Amino acid sequence: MDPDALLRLTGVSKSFVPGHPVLENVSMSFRRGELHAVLGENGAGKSTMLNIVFGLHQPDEGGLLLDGRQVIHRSPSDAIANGIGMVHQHFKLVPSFTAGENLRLAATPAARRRLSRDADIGRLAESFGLPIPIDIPVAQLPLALQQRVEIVKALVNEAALILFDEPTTILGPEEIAGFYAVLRRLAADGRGIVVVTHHLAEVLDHADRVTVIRHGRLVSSGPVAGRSRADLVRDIVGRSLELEPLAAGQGRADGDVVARLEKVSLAPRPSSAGLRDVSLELRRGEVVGVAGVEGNGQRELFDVVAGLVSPERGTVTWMSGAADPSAPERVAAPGLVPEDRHREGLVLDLPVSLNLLLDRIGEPAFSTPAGRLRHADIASHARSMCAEADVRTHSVEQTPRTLSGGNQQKIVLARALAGDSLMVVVHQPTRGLDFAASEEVLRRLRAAAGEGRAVLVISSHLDELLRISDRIVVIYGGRIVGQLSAPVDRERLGVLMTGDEREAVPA
Amino acid sequence: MVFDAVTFGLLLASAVRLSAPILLASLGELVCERGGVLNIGLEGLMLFGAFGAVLGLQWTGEPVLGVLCGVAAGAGAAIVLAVAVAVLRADSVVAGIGFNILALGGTSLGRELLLSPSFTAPSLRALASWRIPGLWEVPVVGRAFFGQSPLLYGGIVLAIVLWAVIRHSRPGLVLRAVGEGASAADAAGIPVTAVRFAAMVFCGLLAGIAGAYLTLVASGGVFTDNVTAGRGYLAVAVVIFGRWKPLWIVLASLLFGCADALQYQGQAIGLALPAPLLLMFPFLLALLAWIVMGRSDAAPGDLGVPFIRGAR
Repeated sequence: MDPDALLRLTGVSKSFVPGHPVLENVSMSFRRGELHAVLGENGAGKSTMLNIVFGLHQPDEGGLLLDGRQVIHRSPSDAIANGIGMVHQHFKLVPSFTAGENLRLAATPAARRRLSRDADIGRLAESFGLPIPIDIPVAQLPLALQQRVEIVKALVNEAALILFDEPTTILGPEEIAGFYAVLRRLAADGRGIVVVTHHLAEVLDHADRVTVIRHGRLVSSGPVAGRSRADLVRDIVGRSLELEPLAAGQGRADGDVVARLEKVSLAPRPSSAGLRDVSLELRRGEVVGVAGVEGNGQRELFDVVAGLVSPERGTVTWMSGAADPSAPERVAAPGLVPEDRHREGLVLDLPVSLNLLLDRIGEPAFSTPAGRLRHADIASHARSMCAEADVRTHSVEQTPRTLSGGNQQKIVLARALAGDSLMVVVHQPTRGLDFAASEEVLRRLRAAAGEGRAVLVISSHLDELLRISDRIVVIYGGRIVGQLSAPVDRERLGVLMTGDEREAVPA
Repeated sequence: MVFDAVTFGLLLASAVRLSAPILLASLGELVCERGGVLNIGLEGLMLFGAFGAVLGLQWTGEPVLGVLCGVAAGAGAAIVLAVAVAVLRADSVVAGIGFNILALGGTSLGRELLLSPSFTAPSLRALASWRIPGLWEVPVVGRAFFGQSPLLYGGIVLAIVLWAVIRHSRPGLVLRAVGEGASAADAAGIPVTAVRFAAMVFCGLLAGIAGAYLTLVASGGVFTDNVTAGRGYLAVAVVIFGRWKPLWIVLASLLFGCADALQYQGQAIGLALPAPLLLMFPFLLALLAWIVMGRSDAAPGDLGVPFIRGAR
């Protein structure tokens, strides 16, 4: 029993498929005034737990006690009425509505009276210290501002407990401290704050309490004080998992040049800075990291290096075997891991086997000269790829849609590394992945360089870049503003990323 | 080609008269689509309304009760369709087309079994035209705009009311939210399924009135098989042409009414075009609507997407 509890879960169990519980007998409590972090691997049941509290799912067993009183949340409206707010990972905003309309839509009848005019909404948001533009469609706002609209939504309904599902995934490294400062202020006013995250550093730096869930069971729940990174990792994965040294700086900087960009430029677009005079060489055996705040040209850099987009000015040349610029249609280079695995990396409703071999399905090994697919060969080859890449599926006929994010990413990576492509280009390779899955991705990328490939890693996750890269280039405003060789000084990197060009080193 | 003020007046009056059922049905469709349901079953709902209205007229002998029976038939049929689409989450296009085929067969059978071919309809003048004193005698435009059915005037008033409700009221905000971002609306505590169900039933009511208009006003109280002849589909196109906005829909309906009127009046004004081409005219216009406006930004974001809580 926890006498200070605002909300308690008592023996909550839930399964979507009979016999495969997502949560098993979880009991825990959230307190007022506290920032409570929830950790666990992908598929551990964290989001399901939040969804149960918010009324999106109903528990099979167990229940919720709000201030010691039993409550049943059949739908989000029940939860909202009981003072619970939730900021989903994929925001629940009507994209074509303005912030004002979204807030008015979500407001309870009691709150609605205060929101009749846009000016009232603006003033209210400012009174929470969270100013938002209220009269343009939210789809046009940056993600960090959309998130702020979601927070104001919870506050307008006087939520006493606010649940955040992986809120920092969409934030740049420079925005995270500010975000937690906001959460701290909300908690200081007596609200309970719950944050589901994968990032241990955030938990150790900012949270008061931490709960770890593994395979649907509660492993630990208690104050953060006294916990270390190592023992949280042990709780999360069930065994000790040391951060393996990934041998940053061990790559060869004298390998053959696989791809060369010379003064490449692309016009800026509303959401991105484009590219300006970018010159870059990728060499065999080397991992090059690209650091920068999102929207500074990373997306365009990926497209140009991959051969998906021709530069408007400047030239890109590939060593044969890396990409084929002479192809009549521009064909993407093999060895790609795009940013959005759902839309660009996978065909979510085709079997895993076809996804793994998507770029090779026309080869004689997998289809007859007449074009008939050799299903047995495809399946057996896919099975061996799954085994090698540790993709966990019941069968290769399963569709990626039903798999966890970590397994989906393993498929994309397995396909990228399967051929004998000399170049591997990855964009946000660990986004949304848990600790163990991220480590596996990084290990495989490092190994690819060890095999003599050129590896380009574009990521907003600085710690990973620092651990894996032989060389880090910093992109800002579409320009490469600096280049640092391992071991890289983190502070210096941060300065470069915010565009202070006085520090720039000619690339 | 004969073209003077008198024939122009006749053509205009005919166009306005024929735009009424399209206007009424497309206002219903508008409410559906703003709520995210692409209601292809509109054609079938109109047929049920048309049949129900004649049945009611034959039973009671009262034109107004006939219209009410048409409304009841449209709404009742809409409930069946809404159970399939909004509650059971059937694909609205597949369910709608199946429903239309059912409606065509069902109403034809109903005509054989329930309607008397020798029935003499009472005077439908009160339903067919309200002459606004003074104004209806204005040359050329008088009959077209001031001597029409009260149902048409009701439709225009309704368009204005819908404009205000959709744009400026809470129910309108809720309806738009369900159509633009169903899962966001759900997370905000809006009962998405119930809103879509209600929108479809409202659409059924209006389709019922539109059907009643076709039989009681436009064809003198007689039900013929497939009396709608594709006007339900035209009304779906009108919503697109009207960019999902009630007042534009009034104008788009008038345009389609003109196209429809040309089939009947084309020969009267001596238009030297083959009759089948004149028949095709409204549908060519509809095709144009789909091509030009079908992918418009004005379309509700979640149009035609069944709502399943927790789906990615």
